[in-house]
Amino acid sequence: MNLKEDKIIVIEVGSYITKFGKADPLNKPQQQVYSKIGKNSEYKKDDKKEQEDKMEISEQKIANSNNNTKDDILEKNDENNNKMNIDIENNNVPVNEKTLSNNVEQNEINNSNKNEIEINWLFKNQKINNWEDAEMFWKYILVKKLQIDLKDNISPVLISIPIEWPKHYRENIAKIMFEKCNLPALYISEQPLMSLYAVGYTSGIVIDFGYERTRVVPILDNIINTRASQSLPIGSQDIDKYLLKLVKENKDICSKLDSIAENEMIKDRDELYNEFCKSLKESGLCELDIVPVKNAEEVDFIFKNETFKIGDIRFECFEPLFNPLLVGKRIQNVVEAFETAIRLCDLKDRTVLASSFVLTGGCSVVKGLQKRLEHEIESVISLSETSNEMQIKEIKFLKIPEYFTKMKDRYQDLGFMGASIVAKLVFMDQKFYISRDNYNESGPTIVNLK
Amino acid sequence: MTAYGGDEISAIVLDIGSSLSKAGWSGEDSPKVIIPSYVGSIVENESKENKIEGDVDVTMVNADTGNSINSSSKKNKKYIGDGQINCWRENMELKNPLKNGLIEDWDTLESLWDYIFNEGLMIDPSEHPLFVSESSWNTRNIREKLTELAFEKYQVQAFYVAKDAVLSAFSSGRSTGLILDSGGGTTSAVPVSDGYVLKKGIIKQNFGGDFLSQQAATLIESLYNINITPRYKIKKKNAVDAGVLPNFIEYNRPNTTPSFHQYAMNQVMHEFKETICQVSEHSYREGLLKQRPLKCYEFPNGYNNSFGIERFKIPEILIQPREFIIQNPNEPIDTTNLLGMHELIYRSINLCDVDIRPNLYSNIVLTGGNTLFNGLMDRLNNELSMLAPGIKIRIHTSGNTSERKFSVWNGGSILSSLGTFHQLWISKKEYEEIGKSIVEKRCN
Repeated sequence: MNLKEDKIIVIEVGSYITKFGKADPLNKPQQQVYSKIGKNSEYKKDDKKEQEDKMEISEQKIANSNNNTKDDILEKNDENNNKMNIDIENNNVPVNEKTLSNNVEQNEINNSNKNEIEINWLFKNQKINNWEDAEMFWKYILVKKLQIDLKDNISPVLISIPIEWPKHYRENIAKIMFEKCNLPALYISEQPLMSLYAVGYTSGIVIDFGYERTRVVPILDNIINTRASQSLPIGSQDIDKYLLKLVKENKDICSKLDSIAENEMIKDRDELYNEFCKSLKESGLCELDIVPVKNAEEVDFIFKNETFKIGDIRFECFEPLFNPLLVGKRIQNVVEAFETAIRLCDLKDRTVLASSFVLTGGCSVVKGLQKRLEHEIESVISLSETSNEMQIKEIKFLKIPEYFTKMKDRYQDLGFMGASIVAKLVFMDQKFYISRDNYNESGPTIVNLK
Repeated sequence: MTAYGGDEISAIVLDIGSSLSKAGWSGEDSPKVIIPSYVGSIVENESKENKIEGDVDVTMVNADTGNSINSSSKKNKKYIGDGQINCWRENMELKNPLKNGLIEDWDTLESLWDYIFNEGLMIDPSEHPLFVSESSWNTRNIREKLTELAFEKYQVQAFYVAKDAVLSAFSSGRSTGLILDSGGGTTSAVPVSDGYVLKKGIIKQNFGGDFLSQQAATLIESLYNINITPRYKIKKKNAVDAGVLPNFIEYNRPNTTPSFHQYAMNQVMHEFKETICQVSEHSYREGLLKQRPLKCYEFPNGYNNSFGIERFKIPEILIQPREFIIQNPNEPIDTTNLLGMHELIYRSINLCDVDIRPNLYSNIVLTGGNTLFNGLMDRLNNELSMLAPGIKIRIHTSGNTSERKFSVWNGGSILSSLGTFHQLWISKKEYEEIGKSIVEKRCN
């Protein structure tokens, strides 16, 4: 089967954001969507009726219903497809979008009928909680966002998943992809391995600062050491909460924000605070230094046409990564997790692993992260000259190769880049990927072989 | 008797050892879940506000640690897995379900099983058959209780218990052999013939890798007059020259339980032991061994030095326990009945029938993490040739070092995926008709 190179799709699943787009390692991932699905309470009743009756969805019902069985989707023509999906967005399945041009398209539903919508984060706690929702989510990505015709699908998909997902998840994914989305070819890969490939190495330690979890994953010769991988329940969501707490403690900022709220008649104070914190975090003013700096120099930060003076908060913001106690979690911090991970690797491999560190994930773009990590890891590795040759003496961070000119410093996109690179290679040769014929012969267990 | 297995339902293979627990699907070549067999638990009063040491006063509200399982009666938080048990917590006790190779603490075992099914493998045990390994000297009571646990609490579809020595033999491709298994907690020599354990030949000793690490700590501390500090106490260390006392800043860690401290110390010494210790290939002669090159090592607190004779003294305990065990005056150990590994093998084989002895001698299998010392295999060969001259002795070990730690699991995976094995499972129906005594007939 000849698969067209420009039709290859890469989907990288995350608990916060799912990135997807055409396989293109030279550019940023084209689109990303929050990994959540909202359901209108009315939808639930209609859903059951739909499935029982198995009727063709009439024009009228399109406005109210959201669920379509596989047959329905394949039977509909394009026009209906688009219509249905538009209605999905306007009525009952709002999925918050965020395009990379940073224009946040707020879905109307989210502002108005908030009470009626039940929002589920699909991949929370590294588990897929509801397979039907996941299926709808992926179909939404393929049909609505990527404009793929499911009836005559010629786009091979590479889906990049977290390492915790067990093999029956992969089998289910294959089932959904081949049976419901009618893919011609599929390849399932793991995110840390993709990030490592993006920097051009096959052995190293990948530290992924995610939304819910921070993962330390040692990889040796293309094989992920799942036993040694550590996963800490601390991530961007904790940083957000901590920043909010810091902001609320700072009286100057609070008073200014309150006055803005009054002026603009914003009822929900919390939302304003959240918005402030988010823009502060993304502004790049927050840094990490070797020790949390006290009495730091105050820097101006402009939010909604007001100037705020941000001082110590800048340096304290990302501290929970190194001191989880600040958010009330008695767990290991990143450095201790690294130590536990490296100790579970074979002795001979440790120096190799330590000389290839890859930082990726949302929080990895914080200034000063590498310096801080180096400083903290000193207390874990051997310092003296008379230590054993198998003990780690220093660590080295890997950089994105120079030929990815547009991707310089975009460490948070390493996973997608690596996945794109692999996608372009793997769909060339039949023996690497799972094709529709393979699936039809062997069933979902084929994922365990390839 | 219904047949289970095949493509649809995969059996779960579970091997709970004294230091590591392994679990995974049958038919695979390595276990998916490998966790230390320790469960950290704190009996906590949720309403109490704990002041935690450190820079910030934080009230412990909703400490979500991701892997905690709350038991219904008391507020008993459990921590399982490398990341969780290595994290220092006030008053956290580390409990091991096994003692001397036999299951003693059933609550801890249940916590481990819960974690393995829910977080490790992410499956519902009631949909799968369960294959469990047991010690070769397991008692009837424990076996029956295990069966009860599997069927009543976890509602498994089918169940089987196999002896670990048999599984180790299978994983090395034989059905007859003498299995010398030296792991974290116990060392044992078990003869297996045609897939059955010869019970009269079982000899075991209650020491293994953990004991060696403790001995190593005692030896180094007394010889070099230093205190070995476990990692959880070290806040920041400074580089020091070789042999100089360490210079580091300590954390204040009040209320550390002795079990946690012991575990952390063992971890430090495991590193030391695995990095530089080795067994002398010929008999132990101190003069000769002192001439061997020294190896350097740095401890977590910064203390570093070159070590020579200690490298050989520590594993020598496996060969000559009576001479090399360092006694603690507070807790003297009775060493009169302890045997070296070669003596274990020799005696175990001699307890068996004369006919099978040559077969056993030529099929000795070394397994268990504690047998990974460099030079151990050669030494055993030499010593056994002296004990049993003229007999053909072949010692086999798994080529891959990490496979040695999982050989029991591997054997379980192989056995449970064989076509001929499917009729041996105890199905749920049979258990409901006959009761737990069925396990004695089927699996013994």
